[in-house]
Amino acid sequence: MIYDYILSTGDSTISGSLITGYTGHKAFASNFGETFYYNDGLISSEKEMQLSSNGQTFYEDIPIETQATNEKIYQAFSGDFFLKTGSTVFFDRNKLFTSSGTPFRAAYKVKYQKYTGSSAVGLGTGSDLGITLTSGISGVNTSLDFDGYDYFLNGQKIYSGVGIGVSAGVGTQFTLSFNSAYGGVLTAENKSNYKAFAFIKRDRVKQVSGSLPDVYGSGFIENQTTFYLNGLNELDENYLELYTGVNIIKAGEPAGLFNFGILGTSLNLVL
Amino acid sequence: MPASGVQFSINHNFTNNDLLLAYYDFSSGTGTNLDLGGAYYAAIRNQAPATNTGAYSGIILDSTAGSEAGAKTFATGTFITGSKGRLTKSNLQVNTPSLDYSSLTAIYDFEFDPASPVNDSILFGALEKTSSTINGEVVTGAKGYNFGINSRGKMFYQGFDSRGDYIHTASSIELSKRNIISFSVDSDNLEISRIDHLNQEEKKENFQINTQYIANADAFYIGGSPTYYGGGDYSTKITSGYLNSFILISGYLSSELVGNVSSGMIGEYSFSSGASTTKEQITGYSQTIIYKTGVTGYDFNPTGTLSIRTGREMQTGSITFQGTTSKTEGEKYFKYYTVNNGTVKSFYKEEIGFLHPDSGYVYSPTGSGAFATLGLQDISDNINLYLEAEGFDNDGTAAINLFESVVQTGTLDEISGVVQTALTKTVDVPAVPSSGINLTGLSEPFKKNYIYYLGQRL
Repeated sequence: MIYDYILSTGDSTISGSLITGYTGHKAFASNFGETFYYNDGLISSEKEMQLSSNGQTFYEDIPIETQATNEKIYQAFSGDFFLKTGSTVFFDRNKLFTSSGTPFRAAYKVKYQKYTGSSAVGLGTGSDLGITLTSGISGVNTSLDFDGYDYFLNGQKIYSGVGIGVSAGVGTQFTLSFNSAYGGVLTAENKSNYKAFAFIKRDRVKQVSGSLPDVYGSGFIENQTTFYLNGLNELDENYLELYTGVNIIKAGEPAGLFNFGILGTSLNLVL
Repeated sequence: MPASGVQFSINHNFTNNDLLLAYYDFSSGTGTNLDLGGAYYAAIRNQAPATNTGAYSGIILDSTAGSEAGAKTFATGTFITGSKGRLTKSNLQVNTPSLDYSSLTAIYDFEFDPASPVNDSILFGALEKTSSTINGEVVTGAKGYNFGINSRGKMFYQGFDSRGDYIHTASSIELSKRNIISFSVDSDNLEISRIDHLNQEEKKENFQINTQYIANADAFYIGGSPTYYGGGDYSTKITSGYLNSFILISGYLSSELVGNVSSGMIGEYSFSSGASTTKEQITGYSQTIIYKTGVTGYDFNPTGTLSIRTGREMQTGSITFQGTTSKTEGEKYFKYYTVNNGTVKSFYKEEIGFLHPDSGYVYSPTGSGAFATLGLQDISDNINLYLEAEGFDNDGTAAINLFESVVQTGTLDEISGVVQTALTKTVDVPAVPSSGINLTGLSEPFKKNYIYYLGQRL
């Protein structure tokens, strides 16, 4: 099991740690059937969203817009979904438009987070996926090294030596590989089945990943945390954000006691 | 100073300070204002911006000594250290002879002591159980209530009403090391809140209680309680933590207002007198009429001449021999006859079928076919060809000049619009003072530092 926590640390002062510009705000997409909607008050333009559906992270594309008679045609070629944030009809303004192969079902939990970094995408069609993603990254930013990004393969977060590695280059000049030599799963035969993308890591965060499920002693701002379990973006309700000194008791048991004059049932809470 | 921050936040949210009953601030450390009582005890003096600073002093119970100096030494050397009121050293007693407990808000800047685990803590201890015998029956009643933190780190409210004792716990609110927490009571409603200034939001839980059963107590205690489910009395030090500041407000404050007021507890008042500047201000507009442009006329340039032949083409009445041509018997041709009486020359022609001179002009059919039935023979002979001579009457030529048209453009009389140009002048903008609260304190104590994965534990 790989437990991966991304914790917003903020600054040393309260003012420097305030949540600003809604960056880091998290929300769930509401849905009607298999059509999902987001809060366009929170996400106001393209490429401001990190979205996951049942834990699988999706890549937002910028669609190509073509003006036709009485309609505008949107085409997305590499991403999993896109938004219509420009001059579009009212009912499309806060709607998530998904590619045909993107799994959005009515019962899915689709959550998203305001993200103000940049992202790149690489498609494994007809060429080596590592080289393609390397090229996509260099088209976005050339000042970061390998550790400056979070990497995803088919929506699952992958890590150095566990899914991805650097096959050549040093520092900011690196070439990615998804092959087995770097813990990856790509082969010449299956490479067309995969899509990889990367997000630039946010500032003022602490990333703790490893085999231990709990994290101690690292100060972070409540509600500004992200948790990946084996590369899947988990719901916030799966973990508690606490102060070290508190006791842990079994969840789900009511802590209130009422009517002392009435005999109740004794309950042993598990520490 | 936080006092100035509280002053600002109170003024910013209320019309006056009257609702602010008590304000304790320990950030001055040993300089904290103290009252020294005649029985040789020290008390935290209620301070401005509270209006009635002569009331609601917090008596440091364990400061009682044989002298004022001894009491002060305990207050500033033991209870208040590191700019914090240490509730592990003493409880505070606040006498409340006329406080309405059923309509009250208390806000705490409370901090756990990292040297000890989170334990039960009483931050507002006033619950006092009473009993009396009426007609041989023991009737139990109570004054006040308790507010605090249980050993799980959850805020709770302990009260008593017609159903007996009860405890409400804000189970959904997790505390950090340092917390701005509050309770508000009024009109059968209890609201327990934690203000998350880092996320600029309030976390709260509301409970329905019966405030008619809340009797006023003579005092409340910070750090202990006359009646607590864990035992002890008002002097028993239950709380293991620090108090940075404390506010007591008359009436019910929603968590949103608590958030606004509490920003003054952790921030510092800031004021900027601003700076005067200048700016360009529009004084009016000048208008320029724009006329339409278009075609105003045409000019014609000569491009050359055209020659036209005049007169009428007509026949001259003469024919001219042009040679001969062969005709087969039966073929049609025109035979010309000339007229010449000396003054008039003319001709006429007649279309006839050709008969060979040698045919004898005798009808002699030669067969049953169409040609043979007519008696014609397949022989031919030459006949003369003539050309009808033509000429022009009044023959001559006329020369005509040719021209091209060239469009002439220019400004028309029609108005197409008006251009407005702003006229400005430089004006002085006086300095505009601004004020607010800077949250300059350290953020680390307000953060969480422990993630507990529920995964397989649920």
